Amino acid sequence: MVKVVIDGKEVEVEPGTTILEAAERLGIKIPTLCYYPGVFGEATCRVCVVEIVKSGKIVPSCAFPVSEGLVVETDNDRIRENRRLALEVILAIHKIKCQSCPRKGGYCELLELCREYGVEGIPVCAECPLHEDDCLLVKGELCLGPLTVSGCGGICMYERRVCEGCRGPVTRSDVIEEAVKLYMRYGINLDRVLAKLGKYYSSSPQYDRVVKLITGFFQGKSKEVVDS
Amino acid sequence: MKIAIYQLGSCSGCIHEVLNLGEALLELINKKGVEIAYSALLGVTRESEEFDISLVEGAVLSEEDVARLRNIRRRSKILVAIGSCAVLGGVPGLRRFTPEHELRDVYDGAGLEQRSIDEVFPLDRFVEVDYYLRGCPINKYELLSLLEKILQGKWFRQGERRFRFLRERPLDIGGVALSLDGEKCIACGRCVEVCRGITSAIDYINRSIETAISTPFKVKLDESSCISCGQCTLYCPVGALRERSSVAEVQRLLKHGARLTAYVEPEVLAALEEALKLDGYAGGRLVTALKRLGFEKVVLWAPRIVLDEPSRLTIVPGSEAESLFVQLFYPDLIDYLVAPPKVENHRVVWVTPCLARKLGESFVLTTRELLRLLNTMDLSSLTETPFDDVLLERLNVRVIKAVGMREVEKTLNYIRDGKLREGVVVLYTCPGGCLYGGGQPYLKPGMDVKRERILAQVIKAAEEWRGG
Repeated sequence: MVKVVIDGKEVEVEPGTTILEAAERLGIKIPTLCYYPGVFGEATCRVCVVEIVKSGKIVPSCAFPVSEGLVVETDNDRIRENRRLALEVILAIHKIKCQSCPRKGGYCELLELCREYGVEGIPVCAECPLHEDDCLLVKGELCLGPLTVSGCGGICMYERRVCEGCRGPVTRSDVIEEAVKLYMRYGINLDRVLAKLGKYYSSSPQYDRVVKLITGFFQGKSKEVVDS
Repeated sequence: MKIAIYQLGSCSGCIHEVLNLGEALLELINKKGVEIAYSALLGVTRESEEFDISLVEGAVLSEEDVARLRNIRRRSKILVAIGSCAVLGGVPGLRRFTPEHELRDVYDGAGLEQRSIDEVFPLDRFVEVDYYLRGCPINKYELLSLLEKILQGKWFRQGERRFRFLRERPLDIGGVALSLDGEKCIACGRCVEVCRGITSAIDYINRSIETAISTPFKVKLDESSCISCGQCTLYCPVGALRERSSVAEVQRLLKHGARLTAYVEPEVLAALEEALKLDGYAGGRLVTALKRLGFEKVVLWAPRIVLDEPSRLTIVPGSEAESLFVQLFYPDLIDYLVAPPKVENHRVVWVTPCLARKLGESFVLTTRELLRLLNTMDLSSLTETPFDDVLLERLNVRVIKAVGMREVEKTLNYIRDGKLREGVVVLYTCPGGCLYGGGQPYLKPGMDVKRERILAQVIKAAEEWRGG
């Protein structure tokens, strides 16, 4: 048995236990994405990083075995910034197609983590409880969900009302491109979108950028041209 | 901890939302040492010299607002912009689209004391804002979690950053029942680990940013050793691996008035309760919900296989997955294999926990798709309707059950080695059997799952139904 100190609490575990498992025994929750109890091979996501106090190293807790006298911190500003970076990189390679995602409406693990660490870029569609043909866009209603920053829990859609965009726009060009594709598929034209867009953020600096991107994508320009 | 609540140009909706926290706000005040040190709306009007947190609502509309905001910033350690107006300019920002003479027509002579500025600005145009709470009005739970983080001394940054990676166009190797969207995949590897315990159909390919999850040589899933059991879809955190959805098709059929019958397996009911956070047996309420959606009949049933010669050695696959598994890995035992259960009637929608059934000819909805079909419907408020019919006999003989991949392989090896010469063997590849099938609702670590217990309740209720 080896003694380790996690967040100031001491625990005795068998050698070879990972920091994550030791922390679990203490009731300390470390956020994870690729790790799932019983289903885990390699440390790929780096969301569960913790700091080894003595060396100041940031290590993935799901794969780092404990040793005698190890002192670990699981939550400080530096760790949070590292987790945030990991999430941002993951979000960058994850193409956002929330509208058709089976995990939308309360099952998206990425959304939960991003919300915890202040990473924005996932639209309201990720929280929308309406699926497939019940999506308000499919019915030809202009919903700003695909363009709007998530976090509200999709409360308007529970009453089958469209998103008005009160939380402000996502400014990532790939998200806007995807949104414009949806609008075009369901016969919503540029004028209708622009007329509604300004309701909550016409005086914010993001507005001009979003209008430029939306107009460009509606005109069929490529992402590189629009976002230059 | 001293909190001040200020208002600039806005409707006070967000401040009301702060008050709507109700008991949670009282708990902050009574137990966590929070003090509301200034709020005109609450009648706390004596301003202190310094605040720990200032919540500022509203957009900057006039020069007085600018001066006031700068003053607030000087006296606050943390400044939080609350609501769309403070974060983005909000509704007052619509002034941008109104010609000035129209505004003059309305407001001139109203005796306004403030000198308004030409445009409307969000707070961060003039001062540094530490945290933003979006929404019109704000989400009170978001506010609560922010306050708690600040109380614990946790710091975090908000906003989005754009990273660009040059990446080869990712692959799409979807099959009939399953699809894998390479664009959504974040290569976390959970699916690889799950599949290692089943048939190892998928694994990592390439390196670094090009890392992807694929079958060998990027063949389609149906051409690989994948048996479409769907266990990987339960663990994919981003929904890149998923079932081919039939929800839209069912919705369309129902909209056009097709007379459909739903055949619901008991395992579906066992998982509904935890997914919809209901208490008690959900069967009757599900029938009401499905009928409200437009189904003509709802039947509780278990797929039935009738064996002509029960004395002979027979391998009964629980679904297409097991059938495929035997064909792929034990081709010498095909003679003992019978066809997987199916429903031939095209007016029947088979609601099942099994994802592999999508490989067959039946019209299949998995439990997860059923949940999506229910959308915003609140089952807890519905009344109970009895099932139109209950058909629960699976087989007409005694059987040997092999549940989970290890048992399945062991049993098949026994047959191959001649150690098992007679009897009926039923195979289930999913670990834990159909209750944990590939089409069941998503699980979260540490979730309280009571599917076995609820399944027993379902069976008991069904027997009572038959008795009555």
